[in-house]
Amino acid sequence: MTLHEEDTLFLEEEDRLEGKYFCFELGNQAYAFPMPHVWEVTMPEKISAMPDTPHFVRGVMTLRDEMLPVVDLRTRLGLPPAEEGQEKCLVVIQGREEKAAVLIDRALGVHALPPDAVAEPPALLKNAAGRFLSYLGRDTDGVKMILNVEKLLDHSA
Amino acid sequence: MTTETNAQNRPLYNFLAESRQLLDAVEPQLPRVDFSQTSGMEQDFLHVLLRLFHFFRRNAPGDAFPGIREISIEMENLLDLMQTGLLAPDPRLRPFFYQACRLLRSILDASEGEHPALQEEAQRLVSRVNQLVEELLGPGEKEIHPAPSPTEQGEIVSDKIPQVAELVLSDEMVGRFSEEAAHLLEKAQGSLEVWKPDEGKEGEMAPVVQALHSLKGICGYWGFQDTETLCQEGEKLADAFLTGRLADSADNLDILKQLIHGVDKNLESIAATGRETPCNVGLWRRMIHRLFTEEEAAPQEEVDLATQAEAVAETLPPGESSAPYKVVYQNRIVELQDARFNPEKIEDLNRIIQQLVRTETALTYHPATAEILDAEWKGLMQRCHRLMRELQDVSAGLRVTPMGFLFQQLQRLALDLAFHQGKQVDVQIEGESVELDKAVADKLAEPLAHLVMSAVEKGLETEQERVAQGKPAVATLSLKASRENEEVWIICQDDGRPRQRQDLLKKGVEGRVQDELNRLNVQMDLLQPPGKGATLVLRVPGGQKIVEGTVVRLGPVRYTVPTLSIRDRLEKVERDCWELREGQWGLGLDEEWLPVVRLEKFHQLQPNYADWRDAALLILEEGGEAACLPVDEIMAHQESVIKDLPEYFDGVRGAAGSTLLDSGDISVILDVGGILEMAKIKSLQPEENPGKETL
Repeated sequence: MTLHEEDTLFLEEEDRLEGKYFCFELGNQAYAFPMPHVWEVTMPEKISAMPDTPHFVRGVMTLRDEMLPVVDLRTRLGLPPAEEGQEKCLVVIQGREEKAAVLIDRALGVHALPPDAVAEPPALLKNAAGRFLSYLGRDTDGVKMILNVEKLLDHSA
Repeated sequence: MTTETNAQNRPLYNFLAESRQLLDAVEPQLPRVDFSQTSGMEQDFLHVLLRLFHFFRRNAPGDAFPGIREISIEMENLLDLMQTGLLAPDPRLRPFFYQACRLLRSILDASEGEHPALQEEAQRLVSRVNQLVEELLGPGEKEIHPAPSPTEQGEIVSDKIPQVAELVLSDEMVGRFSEEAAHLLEKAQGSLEVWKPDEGKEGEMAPVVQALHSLKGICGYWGFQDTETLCQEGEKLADAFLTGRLADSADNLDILKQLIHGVDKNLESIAATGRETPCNVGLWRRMIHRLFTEEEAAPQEEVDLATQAEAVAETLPPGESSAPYKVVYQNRIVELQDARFNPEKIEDLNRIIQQLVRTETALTYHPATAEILDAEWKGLMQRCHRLMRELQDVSAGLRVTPMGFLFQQLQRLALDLAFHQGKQVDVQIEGESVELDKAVADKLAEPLAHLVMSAVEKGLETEQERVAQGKPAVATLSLKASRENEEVWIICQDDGRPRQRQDLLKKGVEGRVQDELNRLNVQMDLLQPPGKGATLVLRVPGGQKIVEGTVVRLGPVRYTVPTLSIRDRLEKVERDCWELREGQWGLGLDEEWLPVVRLEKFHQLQPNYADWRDAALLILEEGGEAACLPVDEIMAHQESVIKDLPEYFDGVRGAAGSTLLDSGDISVILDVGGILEMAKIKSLQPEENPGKETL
């Protein structure tokens, strides 16, 4: 394990103890980002196409003079594209080095999940579609898939 | 020398000027000295510090600046202990020197008179230094270096200026010296009194010269060096009057009288305490030297007033030193302009240059200009354009400032605050020479001050807390500036408590600070190395760079192609073109063969055109290479501010940054040189998917 990976795990553990998550939906499934990584939620404005980028990058946008890459989370997670005209929303997330706006279907709000309601995902899920998954959170509304921000923002992952 | 008031104020002015100069020289050196180990604490610097506090102790008019004497005695004592090795080097010492320098400066700035708050602070500093010394020495050593009491202040601290011999005089010796000296001085004064300017009698000035000569001799014998030098200068002056080398005008005579008055004061002090009163010998010497040089220089108007005025500058009220100040010189009021650039004028200059650049662009693209085919005209226009860019670069350089100045202010602030909160911190500075736009640096000062203050208040633990956590007792706060591409990064790092973003600033100021940072386009990132306090990275745009270019569209992407790299544009190809191999085309143009660059292949785009020969074409040229670039649409010509692409897009090939277009779209600035280079490499490689490229 590299130092970088160790740090990432350390941060994730901290995130879990922090206990607050920004929850949102893609299709019918609920997902979540740990709150310390979430900067703001905004509506998509003008997204400019960028050349020579991975297929999950929609382009680039400016938010108060700051340029941010826009990542289509559905494509990133290998989910089918949303239907045309479906309402969309952007979450600005910050990793260790990178910051990006992530396109989601619908924001659900900030939920508190105590550490005992957050568990490692089953091995099978982690190996398949869930490579961006760090934990599974459970509350009265159901299961939330807690995503690993660092991995999401890493092109090579 | 015009009025008596001026003359009386002169020593005060001299003291203020010299003391500020000394502080200016010492303060910036403090952060560089390592107080935690003997090797870092160079003896030379100890001497520098000693000289500073010694100067204050000896020269500060105690009644005018209460507190200064107490501080300097205490610090001198501390340095004495360090120099003799009784006190081991300790990082906790540094803040005291900062605090002492800052307090001395504040007292000077607060002008004369009572300032209870400052006096109180001085007292607090003295007692805390005492406390630390006691702690470091242990109780046994305390008696060797007792804390000074006000009654014996002048006595206990020995003269520690190197090369100045210690001379212990008995009361009897002092008595004998004083008697003889007073006699000689009386003689000089008496003779001078009866001297009438411009009609002097030779016989009256000669005794003055004689008396000062003798006085000089005995002062030298007893080791009163300052008084000796004063006498020497006085003798020189009197001799010049006697021999007619210097006009015995009222002004000039007044100088001699003042000098003799200074000698008198010294003698009084010697009689009472066995020591000389402080006086600025160097200044006297310079002033008299200039009197001589001025006499020789003619006409008088050509004399460098500014330089002379430096020596005879009078009556500068404290606190007004930064304004263009007036000095009275030979009954003329001379206004001294600050030699530094006036920021407003620089702004004016920059504004005019910007207008000039815009006018030049308008002229270049004016339809009438396009009709001029004269080669010489075109050459001149190009030269004009180059010069304009150079002018822009030079003017941009005028308004930058090194970060060191701001950092030193922040350092002082952090140390002060830590001191008041009883915390120990070592503030380190790096990258002082990194330059930043002055206007930006000025506006950044407040947000940075808030961040540093919060780091000290909320981040740093007390000594006890740190020791309990196994951290070094003294916290470290480092301020670092570095240039990263087009940005200046200001990094503020501490090893205190880990903090979240919301804890970075005091409640109530976050909004204001964030707004200011947004206005300056500064991005602030918080990094939290596990268990290591907080690292704040402020990314400051290092000055705006403008690209002038043509905006084109290829598929969904907008590109800005720098104008300087565009040789020509063609609407539709009705010329010779060859397919060299599948997908690799060449264009024949005026007896020249140009490769066709298929940008869509490098950038994985789907263009709107079906056949590149129907597309709009740009002929690119850079570094002697040329090529043809088919695009879907040539959209506009515009000047825009260059922005770095987010790091996320670091891998995009052939991109030299981005610009925000008037339409709100973001365009990629094409790195033409890079694209031409890539086209060459690509042409050497076999086609990956030949079938797809067939046109």
